[in-house]
Amino acid sequence: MDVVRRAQAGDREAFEALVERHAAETYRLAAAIVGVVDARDVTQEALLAAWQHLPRLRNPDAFDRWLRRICVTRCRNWLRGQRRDASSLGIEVAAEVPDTRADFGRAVEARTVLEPAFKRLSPEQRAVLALHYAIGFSIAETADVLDVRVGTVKSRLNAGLAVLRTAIAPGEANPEPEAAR
Amino acid sequence: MNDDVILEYLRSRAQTEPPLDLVPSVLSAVTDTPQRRASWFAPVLPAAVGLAAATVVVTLVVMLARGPDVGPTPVASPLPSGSAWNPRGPVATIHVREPYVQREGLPITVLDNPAADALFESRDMCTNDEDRYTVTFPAEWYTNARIGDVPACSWFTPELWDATDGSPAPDQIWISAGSIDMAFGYTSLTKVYFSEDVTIDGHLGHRTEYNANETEEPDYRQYHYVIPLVDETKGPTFIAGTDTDSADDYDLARAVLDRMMATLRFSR
Repeated sequence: MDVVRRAQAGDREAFEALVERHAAETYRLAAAIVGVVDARDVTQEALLAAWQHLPRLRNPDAFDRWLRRICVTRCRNWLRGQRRDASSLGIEVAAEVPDTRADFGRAVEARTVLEPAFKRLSPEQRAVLALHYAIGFSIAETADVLDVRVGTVKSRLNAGLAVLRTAIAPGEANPEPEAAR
Repeated sequence: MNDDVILEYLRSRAQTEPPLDLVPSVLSAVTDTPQRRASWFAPVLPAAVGLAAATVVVTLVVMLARGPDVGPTPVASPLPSGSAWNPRGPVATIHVREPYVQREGLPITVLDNPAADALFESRDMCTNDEDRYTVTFPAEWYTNARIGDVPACSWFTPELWDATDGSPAPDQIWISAGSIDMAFGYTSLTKVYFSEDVTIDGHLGHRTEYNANETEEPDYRQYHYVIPLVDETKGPTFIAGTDTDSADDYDLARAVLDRMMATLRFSR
């Protein structure tokens, strides 16, 4: 964690090392939440915010979790901004939902159905699905990153999954998928 | 089967590599960006207060231009010689720029803002044991538990925290509240847009929109409630506020702050 402390003191080379180490994971987390189109900008925002606020991090050992939280927050802000823009333009997000009677046998077709359904999820639901299923964190780790209770993570997971299930199989109820780990 | 499809889809969202220019672009931005080292109360108090914190009284004084039609940008005047400071701050209404309305059940008028009304249809309450007050805030928003030296119920924001390890004043804080053990006034350099008296839980204070740094940041706005709790010349003073730097939606933040202050209760 010496590199974190040096970066906290304003050492840009130390922060460069942190960026090299964490950029890929941060980008993947952002992509899982906001999508690859916007992931680059969100990741850049998150890493820049980390640099700006690093002196305020009291526990350098918690840098990884702290950066993930910044990334999730930036994703959430990004999504809120998108929704405001869509609202101001009179765009109906739900109008993107395709005909759910399509053939779901192939992954590509499943994606065409799940993608718009995922976009309808709240930023919080997206975050827990991304951290738990896409990144592979346990429920406890996901709760830790988001600073919420385990029960909150579970309820958001269930709510998010219910939306996705409804998208691919309206009227069916499925058990919760096995946790990533 | 369907859940397998969902899991495969979710995993695929993270199966991507960052663009090659990501790291260079971040490092380029870092080169041009200073780090921030503010105190926890920074969103509420102008920097001058922090500098004066070691003194018994914050001698920030404002002399207001007065008149029924001051115009959109009233100009503060310097204090006449011998006028030490004004602990009550700007007591005259200079120019109320926004429509305040009376909402049923609220003891003070609030800025007219349907979005804020909607937020307050579902509310939570928090308690600041150190500064001894309770206040309600939108259930959709977040407040803080104790973080290091920062007592619980000091920060309010619609956004998730960036920091839990005592990292003070993250950018996401829209509204800050708390008490200082000193009086609070305004400098002669402060540009006041409007100010009026308000009574909160039996305490006479004022709410003010102003810019304490007009020369360098002409578009900056601060919106504060300042409530002397015991002795207006010595403190303590309750302060809650927002500003254009802290809040992504400044108008909403002001309107939410109004509604929060309408529910503020002191236990000292």
